[in-house]
Amino acid sequence: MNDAMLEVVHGRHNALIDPSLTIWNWEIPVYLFLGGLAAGLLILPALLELRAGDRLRSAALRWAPWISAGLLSLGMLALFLDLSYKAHVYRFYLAFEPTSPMSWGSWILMLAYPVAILLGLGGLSSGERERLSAWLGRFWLKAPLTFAIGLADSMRRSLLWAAIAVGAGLGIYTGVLLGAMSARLAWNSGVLGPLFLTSGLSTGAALLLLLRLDHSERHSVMLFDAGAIVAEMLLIAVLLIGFASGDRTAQHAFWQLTSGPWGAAFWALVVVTGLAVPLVMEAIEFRRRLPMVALTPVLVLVGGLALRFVLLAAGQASGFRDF
Amino acid sequence: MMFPLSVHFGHEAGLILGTLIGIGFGFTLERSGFGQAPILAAQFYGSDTRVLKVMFTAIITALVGMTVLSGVGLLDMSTLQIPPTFLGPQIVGGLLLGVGFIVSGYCPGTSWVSMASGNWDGLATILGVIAGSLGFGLAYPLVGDFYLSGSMGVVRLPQLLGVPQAILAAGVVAMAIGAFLFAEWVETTLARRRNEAPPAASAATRNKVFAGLGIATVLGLASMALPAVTVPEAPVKSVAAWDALALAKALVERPGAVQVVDLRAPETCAEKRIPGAMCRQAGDADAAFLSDLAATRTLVLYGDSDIKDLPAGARRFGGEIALLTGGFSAFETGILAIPALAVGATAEALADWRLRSALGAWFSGTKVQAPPPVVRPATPVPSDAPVRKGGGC
Amino acid sequence: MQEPRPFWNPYVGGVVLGLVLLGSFLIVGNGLGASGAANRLGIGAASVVAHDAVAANAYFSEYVGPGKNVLDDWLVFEVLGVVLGGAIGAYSGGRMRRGITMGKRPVSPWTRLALAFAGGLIMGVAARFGRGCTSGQALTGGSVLSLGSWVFMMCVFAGGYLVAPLVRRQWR
Repeated sequence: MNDAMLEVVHGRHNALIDPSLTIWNWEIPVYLFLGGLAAGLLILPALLELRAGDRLRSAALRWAPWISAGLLSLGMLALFLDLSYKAHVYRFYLAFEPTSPMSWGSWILMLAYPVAILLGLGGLSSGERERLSAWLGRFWLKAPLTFAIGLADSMRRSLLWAAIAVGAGLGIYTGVLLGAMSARLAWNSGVLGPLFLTSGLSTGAALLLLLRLDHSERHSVMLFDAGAIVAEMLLIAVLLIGFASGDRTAQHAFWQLTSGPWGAAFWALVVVTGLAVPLVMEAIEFRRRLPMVALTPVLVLVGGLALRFVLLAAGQASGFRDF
Repeated sequence: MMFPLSVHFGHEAGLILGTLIGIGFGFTLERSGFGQAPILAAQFYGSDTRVLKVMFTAIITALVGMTVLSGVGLLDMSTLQIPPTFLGPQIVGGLLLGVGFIVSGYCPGTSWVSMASGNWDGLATILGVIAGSLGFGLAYPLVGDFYLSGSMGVVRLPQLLGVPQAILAAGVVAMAIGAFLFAEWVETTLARRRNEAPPAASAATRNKVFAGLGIATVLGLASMALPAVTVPEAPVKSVAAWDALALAKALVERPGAVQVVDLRAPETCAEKRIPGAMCRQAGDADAAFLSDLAATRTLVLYGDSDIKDLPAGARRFGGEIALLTGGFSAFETGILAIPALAVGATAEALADWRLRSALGAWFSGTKVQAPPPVVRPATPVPSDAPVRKGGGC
Repeated sequence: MQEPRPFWNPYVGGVVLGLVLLGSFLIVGNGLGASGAANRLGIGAASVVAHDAVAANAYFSEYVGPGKNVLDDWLVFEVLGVVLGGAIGAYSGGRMRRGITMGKRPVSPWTRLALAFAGGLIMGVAARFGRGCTSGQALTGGSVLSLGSWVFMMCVFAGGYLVAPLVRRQWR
């Protein structure tokens, strides 16, 4: 080997020397963000309805499952754009591999749609049902709709629980998916699943807060959002403590997130902009009984997106080649 | 010297602290009324001179604070980042900024606060500032000469006038308080003439602030009586010294635990360097990128020979630092060039030579000549010993 | 809905602002700023749209290039904080609402926005020549007694007072 070759191998000044994992661009963080949002929008209205024991009043909450399905489709579009072999996507559905988070994920995605649609149909008001059935009637689809609405109404309660289960699965699986990739140091933590779920819940609540809600429902959603933010902060603390007290690779991940190249983005965008400031704004809203401003939920949404971007960027920049 | 604290932390930590300081800055500007254009513009019509009062009070508060702290030896003024003077461009820039200020109603900083309070005109100003900056860049071939003219470097008034900072600060405080009283007189006079109410403000609060600033100024003057503090060197982390052999061994045995940076001129480095070393970019005198390197790996620095002063970037590096004793030349002679071994060397010399030639072969890729034959005392081989043939291991 | 909280006494506001500035110097070793962040945001946006043209420009190329991130700067993060702090201040002061601030004699909203943009445009150019604006140059440089900053500050007031009669209709 000559000088240059040695340097390329030994100094690793070459992206090809280490087993290269395909670099993920904007599509994956956006997909994870939208998936979390969709999970939050499935869980939150279901929880509220279970607690109230009655149909929800605000149009936004009744329609939340439809929004959830729409966001999930957008997210899957982003995911699909990222696939190298787009024509092979059907293969995920030819088999079920119980030990693969990827396989679980694709099946959870498929479960989320029927649950969301049935939940959404059941939430429609009678006027909306008539208009929908008149419109679908033009395509001779009136009978399936009537059947589906009947089904959705008769098993409303089970559907609510199913929505919570599917939403939780959807929210957690994205984190587990990253955590299963042991070559990426910043993702090697079991906390990622719950963290992405709580982040999905708080961003979902934030999206609902941007829509028109009934006064008491807005109050509950905001309380829920504040609770989710606090939980998210605790989980981030657990994640960081876990990294800091771990072995050398974990400490490298800790360094990367807290003071490395992504430290500033992590603290400034995720923790300060996305968590601390919205929490302060919500506290002010409570104490001073001020009307809500759109800024608070917007900051939560920005923070949720930044969390995915920072974690993915930090994760992809690390690997065992550092050791 | 205790301050500034920035000598103790890296670039990224500074960004995070910047966000928090910015929150304080934005909150204070908003609470001072600077998020609303009419309040800012009123300065130029004499109806409410808040801009002058807030700005000058802030300047003298910070000035007196720094004077007292540097007077008692807690702050090293020379480490602060002070904007350099470009007299001509700054006169033109100041005049233009004043014009833009009264036309838009905001200055660049307050426009962000205005936008954050929901004002569209604040957003319009921000977009204007961005467009103006880009326009300046596009026109740079035309205005670049003027932009760079009148460069005087960092010029501070105490050095320029030969007056100690504490005395100058006292003068500025006196001048500011005079300006405040004059501005209040203008406010009340104009308000009476226009049949408006002058801006309400508590005289008691004002007097308390004046008294506090006065006391701090006196403290600053008193600190002149203290003996001059000798400036100790900026704190340098404990820096290990590695010889060429230690570095070579580390590179072979634990390549992931070290990162080597070549601090020689970029061209020299590009030509030949310790394999795996990073070169710095041209024009990066401080080697600022060092502070962003992984703090979990030991940072090994080398120059042509021994490094005397750590570059600023290395001082902000979070992890362990080692310097290569003797620099690149030591590595070149000690590792890359394999010394010849004299016939009849001692066992230790032979072991050392073996190690060095192995390392040399590793780093240079050259084949090493076979070790010289070792002369051993001849021992007679018994002739009836069975002779093993082939195969056995 | 409560009444907006009154603004601070200007001298109190000044002392608090001075302490924030002092804190900035003591902690990170530099003062406050604003226009530099707008400059970097603009260059960042421009380099996304027309990367090669930006890299070829003599002035912009100082900010972009291999290994350089134009947004990786103290001022950008500080201004992010300014926006957040301003929002907290406005919200807790009961002053946060979408609108356009105007002088006593209302002008059409588009006139006001156009003037705000035009003023911003002038200030964008001015802040490049001045190496800063009222925050980065006048306030920060003024407090460390920099010659150029004091000259700049006097010129800002001079420029404002000179042109104020011409745009009086907007404010009085």
